[in-house]
This record gives sequence, C-alpha cells and structure tokens, in this order.
Amino acid sequence: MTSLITQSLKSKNFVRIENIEIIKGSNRLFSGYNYTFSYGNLYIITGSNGIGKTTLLKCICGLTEPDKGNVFWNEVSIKKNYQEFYRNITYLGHLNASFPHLSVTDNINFLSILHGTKTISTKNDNFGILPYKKFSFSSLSNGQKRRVALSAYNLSTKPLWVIDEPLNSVDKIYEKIFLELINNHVKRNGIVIISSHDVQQYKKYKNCNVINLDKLYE
Amino acid sequence: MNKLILYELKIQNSSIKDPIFIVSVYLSLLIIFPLSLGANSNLLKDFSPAIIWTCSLITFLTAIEKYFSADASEGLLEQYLLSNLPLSLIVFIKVICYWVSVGLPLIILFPIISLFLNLPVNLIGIISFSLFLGTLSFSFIGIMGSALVLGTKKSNVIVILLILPLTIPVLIFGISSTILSLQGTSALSSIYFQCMTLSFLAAIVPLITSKAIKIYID
Repeated sequence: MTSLITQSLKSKNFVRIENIEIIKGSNRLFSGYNYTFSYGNLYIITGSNGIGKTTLLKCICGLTEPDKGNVFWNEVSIKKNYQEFYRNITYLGHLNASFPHLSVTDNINFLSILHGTKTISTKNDNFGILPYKKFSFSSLSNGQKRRVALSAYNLSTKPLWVIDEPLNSVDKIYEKIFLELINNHVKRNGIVIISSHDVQQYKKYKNCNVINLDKLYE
Repeated sequence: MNKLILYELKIQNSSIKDPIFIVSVYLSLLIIFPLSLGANSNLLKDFSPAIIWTCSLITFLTAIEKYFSADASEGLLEQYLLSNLPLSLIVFIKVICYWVSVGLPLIILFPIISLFLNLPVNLIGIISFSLFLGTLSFSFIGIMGSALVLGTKKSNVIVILLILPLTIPVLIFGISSTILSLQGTSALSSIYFQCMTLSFLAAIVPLITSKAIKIYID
C-alpha cells in the first residue's frame, strides 16, 4: 500500500497562480498576485483577519473563481478540466465537513467513498478517534470534531492538501501528530498549503515557506 | 456508488426528513378531507384527484425546505464538489434517495388512502404509477429549488414561492391522468406527458443544481 502511495506522488506536481485578482464586495483582496506552490514544500498562509487567507485557499482549489487571472496545475489551466483537477485535492475548510446526526464512522466512510480513499482502521487511527466511533458527531467536543475531520488526511493519497486553520481547538498531543503527518506528506513530494495564525510551530520543518498576506505589497 | 446511495439514505433518515414524520403529515392532511366533506361518498370520489395531489404536494413542500442547509452549514458542499464523482451525479443520487425516503412511503400507503377516499380498487395500480411519476418530479423540482435559494435570507419562504409555479405542469398532467382513469377512459396520454416532464427534469435538474451549488461556494 505504501508503495502505491509513493508511486502516485512521484510526479512533480505544482500549482501556479498567475495575475490573480479577487474582489469581495467592495474589497479588493488581491490584484496581480503570482505564486508557485511546488512539490515537496509546506506553505503557511498567514495574515490578519479578513485579509483573504480562506479566499486564497479556495482560489487555489478552484472553488472560488478569481475575477482576473488563472490557476495552473502542472502548466494546464484548471478551467479546462475542473473535475480532473479536483481529483488531486484533499480540502478541509474551517468547517468540519460532517453530518451532525451521523455516527463518526459513518461520516468518515461517507467522505472516503466520495473521495475514493481508504477507510479508517486500527492501523491508521493516528488521531485516536476509534474509541468513540459509534458516537454521533454532534455529541463530540470541538477538539474531537476537528480530529475526526483531520483524520481524512491520514487516509488521503492525493498530492495537494489544502487546510484552513487545521489546529483549531486541538490538543497538544494531536498537534504533534498532525505536524508529523504533514511533514511526511511533504517528504513524499506532496504539497501542503495551510492557513494559520500561529506560524512558529511549523517553522522548525525545512521546506516551510511562510506567506504573510499583510506584507504582500511592501 | 452503491455504497454512496446507502450512506445518502442514512443521512436522509438521520435528519428531520424522517419517513415517519412525512407519513404522519400526509395522513393527517388526508384525513381532514373526508371529515370536512361529510358522509357524501360521491362528492369525495369526485374530489379525490385534487385531494391526493394537493396533499402529496404539500407534504413534499414541508419536507423540502432547507434541504441543502445541513450540507451548507457543515461545509459538505465543497466536499461534494471536490469528490471523485461528478457533482451532477451526486445530485441525481440525492434526488433518488430523497424520493425513497419521502415519496416511496406515500406510494406504499396509497392503497389504504384510496379506501378513505372511496376509490375503486381496480384503479389503485394506475393512480399509484402516476403518483410515482409525479412525486419523483416533485423531488427533482424541490431539490433544484432548495439549491437555488442557498445563501439567501428567509430561504424557507422563497423556496416555496419558487417551487410552486414549477410544479404546475406536473400537477396538471397528474390530476388529468387521475381524472381520466376515474372516468373509466384510458389515462395513457396523460401518463406519457408525465413521463416526458419527468425525463426533462431528470436531464436538466442535476446540471442546474450543480451550477447553483458552485455559485454558492464561490
């Protein structure tokens, strides 16, 4: 199984955003912004509230269409085939992408069917969620909910990981496990793009690039 | 994909769109008519097409409001878009599962209801079939409507105003097929028209709905 994962990630992928302009309401968030996110790298997007971290993440995933400019996946504009591009992404927004009334395993299995990934077992339960697999999702605490949502990354074999504020209300122990997980993904040539307020905890890893949106035009 | 249908059904039944709730709304609406029209069985028989179709339409309307609101508030729409399957296929599966949990109980109950309304036993088959086509069309229209009002304020009122005019063609052919079969003539012509509206809806609704979801996410 591991050889399969490394094989699928062997190709040298990159996402390039070119001349992006995004206007939200009367607010111009980006104009003429270029950046290349390439394989084997970790990118931390930071900046003050409302500066456009989530919008940038959604734009990279092709969820938000920029008002001007293009997003390229391996030199091909994603507009040509969204469906093909979407297959390469595991995305988690600031919401947990789970049905409140379903049990934890049902939620995980539902998402794994949607994305065609493996399902959870005792072997890959890094986030320690199997003890309450029968609980309904709404009965969990915020930190536990976030861990269930993050466990999708444990199962993912896709090259591009995009995560919005991953460590909201997560314990220190699981923070460490998550950092280990993304570090492994970067080592096997994946791309990880994270938005976060706390940059320090990621900085110790090499190949970590910090994008501070406050200082974009200085 | 079979598994996806299974989980979709689980999701439907875990929320308020519980079949038991739907059935009780339908039955209590239906019981009002025989009570208010008195013991005149001929009057009841003449009114029965209108009663059957209005009651099923109202039942569908009560169940449809905010169909996508759980998915939207938990961030699942993004996951549908980024999944391995085309969004329009997921919408199609959702419509079918929605019909199974709302429409199917109505069809199963129909033989009992026809007793309330003093309908001839030999017509139960043809009227159930026309009801099947009609309720499936209602499901398509309802899901499209609830996707179109995503993100608007007071969506539960707007969705009803949006859906009602669209259901008129379905209602006209459904009622005319019921009336024709009650008069003892062949209802085939109306049933063909019902099939036509249904296939038209099945073709365009998944496309419109997936476009509406994309616009909401953007």
